[in-house]
Amino acid sequence: MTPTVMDLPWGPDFEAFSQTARRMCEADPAGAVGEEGPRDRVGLWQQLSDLGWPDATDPTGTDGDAASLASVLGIFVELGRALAVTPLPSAMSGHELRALVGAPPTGTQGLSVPLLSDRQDPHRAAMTLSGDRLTGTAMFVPYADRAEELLVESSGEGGSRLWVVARDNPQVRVEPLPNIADYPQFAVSFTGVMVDEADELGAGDDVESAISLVQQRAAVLMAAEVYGAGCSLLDKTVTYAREREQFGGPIGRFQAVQYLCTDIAVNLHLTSAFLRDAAGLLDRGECATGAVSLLRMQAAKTAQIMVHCAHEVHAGIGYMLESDIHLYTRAAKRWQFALGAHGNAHAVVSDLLGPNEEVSS
Amino acid sequence: MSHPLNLDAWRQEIREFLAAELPPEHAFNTEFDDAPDQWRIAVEFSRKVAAQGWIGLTWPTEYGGGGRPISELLVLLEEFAAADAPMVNSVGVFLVAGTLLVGGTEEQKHRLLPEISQMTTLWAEGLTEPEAGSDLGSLRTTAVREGEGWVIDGQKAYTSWGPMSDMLFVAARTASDPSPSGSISIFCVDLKAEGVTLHPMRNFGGGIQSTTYLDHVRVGPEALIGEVGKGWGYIMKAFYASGGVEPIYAQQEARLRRLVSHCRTTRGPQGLLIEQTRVIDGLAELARMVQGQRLLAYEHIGNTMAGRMTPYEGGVLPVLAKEWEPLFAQVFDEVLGQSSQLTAGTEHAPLGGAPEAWYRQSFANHAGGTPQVKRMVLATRGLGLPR
Repeated sequence: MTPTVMDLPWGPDFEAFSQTARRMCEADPAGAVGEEGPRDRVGLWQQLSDLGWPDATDPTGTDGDAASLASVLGIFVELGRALAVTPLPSAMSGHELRALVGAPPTGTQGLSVPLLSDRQDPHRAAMTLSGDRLTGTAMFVPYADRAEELLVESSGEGGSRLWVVARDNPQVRVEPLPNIADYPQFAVSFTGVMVDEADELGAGDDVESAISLVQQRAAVLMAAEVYGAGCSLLDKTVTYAREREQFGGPIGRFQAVQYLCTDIAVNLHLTSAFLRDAAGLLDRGECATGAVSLLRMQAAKTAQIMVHCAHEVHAGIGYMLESDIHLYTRAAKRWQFALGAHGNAHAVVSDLLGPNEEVSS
Repeated sequence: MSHPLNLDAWRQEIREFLAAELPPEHAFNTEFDDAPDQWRIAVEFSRKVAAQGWIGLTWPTEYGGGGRPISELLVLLEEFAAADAPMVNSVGVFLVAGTLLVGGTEEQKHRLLPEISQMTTLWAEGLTEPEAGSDLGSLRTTAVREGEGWVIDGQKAYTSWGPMSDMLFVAARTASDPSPSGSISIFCVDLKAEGVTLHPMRNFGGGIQSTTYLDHVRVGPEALIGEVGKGWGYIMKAFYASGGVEPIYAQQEARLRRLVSHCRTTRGPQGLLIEQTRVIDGLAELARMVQGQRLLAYEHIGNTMAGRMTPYEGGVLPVLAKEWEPLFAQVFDEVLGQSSQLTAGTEHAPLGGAPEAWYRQSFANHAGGTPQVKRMVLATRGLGLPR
């Protein structure tokens, strides 16, 4: 019998999601990007919502069926390729988190934004619960201004607990964080937000594991955006290297330029491999802590390398705003820090090289 | 780390064989240690592997092969690499057999392949020349017809295992056309034939590679593999025909696991090594290299079996495998620190001094094509950049 080979497939519906997302992104390019960076695509977001994609991966969602992560990567690769900024990642995480802790689903239009501390970055504090009050500040929360509700993790009394808090609560302050990518990120401050039993969605190990899982899945989706953006940037860079002539021919014939282009390709292909591996593990319900951590390491590295190399090849024109290379560079800065974290290395060593798998020297 | 290829029973069979036939003191890499006593151990072990029918695992059964899928070959090679199994005759098993399968006559396949699969004939490689390294197509060795046979003149460089081998796999120019595509032919040359002289040189890794002089060496018509002038095409396809991927990552993972054990049990001035940030970062970086190569290898094997094209025409893995050999050794040594320079023979050397040798050996990554050549292939074939 021919053995089964794990050949890193994309999900069964990857192409279908990808083609639909690509059509929508191509149909809505006008005004999508400006000189200062990617603009929020309100129209695109409306279409994504109308398709029911915000809860596409939620088994309790409107479709009553969950798409695999390896399939919905098709959406995010295309959103990345178009540098399209939408609340879809936050919305999906919100739906997944609600489903995992057994909370009733919301509709696809209302936006529940998770406000969680990154398991790979211990320096990002969660909200602290003292008595019946939540206090603290969460940084870099996407789309907090647009949220109807915030799904808030607290530490302190009762360990890890998950709350739902209305964004328009008077003790909640949402402050824009102007950033290089012009990405809608916010500092969200709680100054004694009162919560009660009805606001609590869960507590303890269940919440802890649900948050870890949602964060792993969100990291995979973000890495898919990096990959999509990188594919687009590689196309532009190779095209430029073929067409730009110096010293009597195209600059792409010089090994120095070829190395820069191949650096992008090498890191993209690695990202793609780690991406499919992590998504496959998560879809099969297997432990993906180490695989997701490797993916985060690789995608963060890829984000930096691809824009560096693209700038080197494009040189002067890449520095001009009329070239759109800077748009990728802006986006990459956010990905670099959202995915890269020191905790990644710890997770890799403990999960992939743990004591159970040691060999004696 | 996970082994997503679903071939657990096959992997277990190989491990049981290794446990029974390969005592730890016999584990070494024949590329870097070919002293006579060691070579005898390696030949004896390799013949036991041959007796299992594992040498021609993927070759067609009519030529003495096993007819098994290349995924099984990858698992075999992974387990052997991880165990430092001392295999000989890699030139015969991969390059010569691959060439025969691509272009050999039926008579040659039936005669030569069983000799390789049974490890009765050992081969050395005669492709590279002093003036034809990365630009192999410019090789100058000639083969001129004389009666029904041929007369070969030229010089070959970096012949590995020459003194211990029986036959030399020679690429020679049979036409003056500067283009390699129609002017190079492949010959089998007995290393004991009159006119063959080896001048051994020791390399940095601990092995021997010879300069081979071919001075008016006469061979019969049967020495020509396949057809005249088609040698370039044969050797370009040979590696793929013989099965695909060299899983260097499996050997690296075994080394990484030894390093992790060392870091978990060794104290430095700042406490256990494993508790240091730079150590954790280094170990994770090594894991990224190992697992990245593994995933790309599995993707390649899966694509090959399914008849699909790997992205960038499969050009990424060869680049990484080449470039990460020395990089892996560098990061490995950064984790170990200053003592990584110590050689075997002092109790202060970590892991018995092996990392010092591994570092030297990592510079053998040019064999089979330099990383720069692999980059050029990726750039031109994979990305479509101009030559």
